[in-house]
Amino acid sequence: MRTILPTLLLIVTTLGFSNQADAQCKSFTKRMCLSELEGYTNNGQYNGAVLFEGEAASLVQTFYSGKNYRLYVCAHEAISDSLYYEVRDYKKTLIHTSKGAESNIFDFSVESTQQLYLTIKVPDMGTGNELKKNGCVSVLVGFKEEN
Amino acid sequence: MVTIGWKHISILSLQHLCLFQSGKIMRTSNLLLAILATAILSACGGEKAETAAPKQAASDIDTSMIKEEIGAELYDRTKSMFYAMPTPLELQSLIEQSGGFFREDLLADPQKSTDYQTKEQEAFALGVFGTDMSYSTVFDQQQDALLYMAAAQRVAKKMGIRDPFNATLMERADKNQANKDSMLLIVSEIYWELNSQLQDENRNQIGLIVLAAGWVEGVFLGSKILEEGSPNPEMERVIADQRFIASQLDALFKDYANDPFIAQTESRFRPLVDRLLALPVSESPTTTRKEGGKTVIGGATTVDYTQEDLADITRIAEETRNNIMAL
Repeated sequence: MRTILPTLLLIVTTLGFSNQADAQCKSFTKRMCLSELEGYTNNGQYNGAVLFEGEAASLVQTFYSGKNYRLYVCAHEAISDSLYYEVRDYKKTLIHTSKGAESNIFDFSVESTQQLYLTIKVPDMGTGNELKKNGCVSVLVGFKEEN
Repeated sequence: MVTIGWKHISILSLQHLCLFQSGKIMRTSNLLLAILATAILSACGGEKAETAAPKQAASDIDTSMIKEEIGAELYDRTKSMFYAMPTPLELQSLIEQSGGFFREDLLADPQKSTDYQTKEQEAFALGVFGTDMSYSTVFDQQQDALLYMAAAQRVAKKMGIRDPFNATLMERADKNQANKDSMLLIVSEIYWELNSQLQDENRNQIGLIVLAAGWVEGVFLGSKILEEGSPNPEMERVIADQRFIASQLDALFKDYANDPFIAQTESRFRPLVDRLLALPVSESPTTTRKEGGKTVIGGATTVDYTQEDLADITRIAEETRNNIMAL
């Protein structure tokens, strides 16, 4: 009994942390990210997760011809400076990278409907495991009619 | 989406939270239950519980390319992979843009929203009512949009989904029904809340079926409008392009192949998914150019189709829609 209570406490705390992290990511996205889609209709998808240094996330999505799109990768300040993303076509041809760019926003359209592959990377900065930086990352997509 | 330590597969933006350990994926809930059971048994000096069996791997179709692209090592530490299935709003908006029109007679009966009783029926109904809400909003039929919003709310409530239809959003919809742009914003928020609640609660398989049913309704509406109107190559293209969505759905169904709910429901969608996947795709090199502050991506892939293909898709979409809405 002496050992079961701390164990249960740890599990409950872990479960609570996981839910809390999800809730915080959602809240972070609402407060800090959604406004960047102004002028576009949010496509209604929620793609949010906590990323640590050395981790990556990917998104596969269909984009339609006839629409203008805004892709915005919104990240917590703890990792936003190092994080970057790449957009590739179905043959892995690099179409866009945010590496070295001033903004994490990518405005584009496609001449024919196609799937694009987005990879988000948070480079490993060599920090010890217990000190690894982390933060919420949300991928937002908005669309509007092509002019 | 997929992770390192834990991976996360999002559907249409609905995420399916998983854990990757030694190359195996385990759902978070199963793992935590296993940890809990093991911890209790060891603390009590009892026998160790069997750990939960590893679940399905991520889709070969989409992840193989990503694995190559980012390298095997990083892939194994990839946090998340989202397979973003579009919400109905985007498809309905394309149908409008390509000359579609409103046909109330095609929509589901919102009065039947309380008749759907099983988990499967509720997920189908929520998807279909959600698309009818989007379609009505896009075509500026806001009274109908409110009716379908209420129908979707009733079904969602029975499924324990409350966030998307919270009092504030419903009140805003009521107040802004004269403003199409505000209604579009509200509908997109409803989908955002729906996706995020299901992700947070680890109910991604429900989300997958809701969005799959919504997609079927969207293809049904689009193809029926196309059938009735004068020849419209732009709208034909929108319908044929659903092949891309079919391939995403196919990948997601494979990801969830071991899930009992998906196993039970997938067959309803198979005829439409497979018919669309049978359309050939032509490839050409991708090009990019800057134009007025945006990047224009040219080339890539084009779905080829004939009028017979479209007639077939229309028929199968109607059969599928009637099948999933049958009580």
